[in-house]
Amino acid sequence: MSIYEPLDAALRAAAVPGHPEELAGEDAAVAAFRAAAPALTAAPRRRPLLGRVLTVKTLVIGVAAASTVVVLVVVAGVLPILPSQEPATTPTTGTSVVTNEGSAPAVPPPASSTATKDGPTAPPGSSTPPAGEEPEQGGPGPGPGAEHGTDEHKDKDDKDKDTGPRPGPNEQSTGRNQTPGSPAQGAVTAVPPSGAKPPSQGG
Amino acid sequence: MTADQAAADLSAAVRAARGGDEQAFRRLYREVQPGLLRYLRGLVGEDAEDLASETWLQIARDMRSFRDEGAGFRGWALTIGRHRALDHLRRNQRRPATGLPVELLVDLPDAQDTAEQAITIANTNATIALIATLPRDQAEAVLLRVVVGLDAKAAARVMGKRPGAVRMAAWRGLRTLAERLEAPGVTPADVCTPRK
Repeated sequence: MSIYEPLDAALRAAAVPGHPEELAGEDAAVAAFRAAAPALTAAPRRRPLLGRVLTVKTLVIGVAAASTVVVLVVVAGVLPILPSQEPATTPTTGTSVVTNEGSAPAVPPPASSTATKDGPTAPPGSSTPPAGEEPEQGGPGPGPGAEHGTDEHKDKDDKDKDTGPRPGPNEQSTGRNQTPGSPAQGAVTAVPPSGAKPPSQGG
Repeated sequence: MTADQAAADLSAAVRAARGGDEQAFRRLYREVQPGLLRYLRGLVGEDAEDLASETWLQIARDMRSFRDEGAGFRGWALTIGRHRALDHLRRNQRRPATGLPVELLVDLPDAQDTAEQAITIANTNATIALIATLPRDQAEAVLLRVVVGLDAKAAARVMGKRPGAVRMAAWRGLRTLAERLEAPGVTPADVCTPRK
């Protein structure tokens, strides 16, 4: 007989399947498991989905808010017009004529507001009178040259107004001080026709 | 059922229990609790049942955080129980008394006993108490390898040692037990007396 035979029998006795006495705490353990079951089942499934939904909602709200603010700012005129647009509009609006006379940069009046609406076809400096008025004075088209020649006295008045404090080259801000749609205002910044002479430098 | 089939069955029960299946948790308890209780009994003696209950409370609470790191669910449960047992021993500042009731030791099976006679609660408890007389690392290695049925790698993870160290400790412990049981003229009462 080997010395390990008694040990083998003893170890087999220690490795037998569980006795009922050893499983006495089963109900308590299951009760603890039942108490923890909601955390086991609900939490891991909902957290990732909730996180994704919240992330998407946050992004959508953020983008919508940002775009709304930008649109409101642009419509309200708080933002300056981009510098690239300034030099492109001044030659066509005839502001150089006004500055040559020694006054402040041309003030495009209310026309600025209409210019933004009309787009590139309507120069910002030229007023767009109501339909049916201008063709009677300046010919078939809204020729700014005709307006310039007929309203010189108003031009001076406008220049007097232009010498006042002004927030800057912002055309829209200056345009608020004048009556929108006035033909005289449009004459200030109107570009003379190709055949007309610009005003002399000396006055 | 082979060991691999048992492990696969246990893994399926673990997945179901993590999904909230109460019956799967019961199956896990019935599979793991006997070995856990015997292991804890070899470490702390009479307080093993209280520590086993605390271990299952923690298992139920932390089931979602279970990650199989090589020892499987059985090794994870034993690791939790081991930590609680070591905390318990630190609080008491001593190893548990390993005295065996004489009425249990007289029933230790010998070579002529049948399997039916060996499979009794008394014999199981007597053997666990005998193993508990070994130095702690040897006792742990024998309990995890022989009584619980872990392989050397899983037992090493539970004990925080290398597999080779666990194999060596188990071999030394088994040899010591065999010598104690085989020595001529040794009574069962002598078996449970730690060596001096």
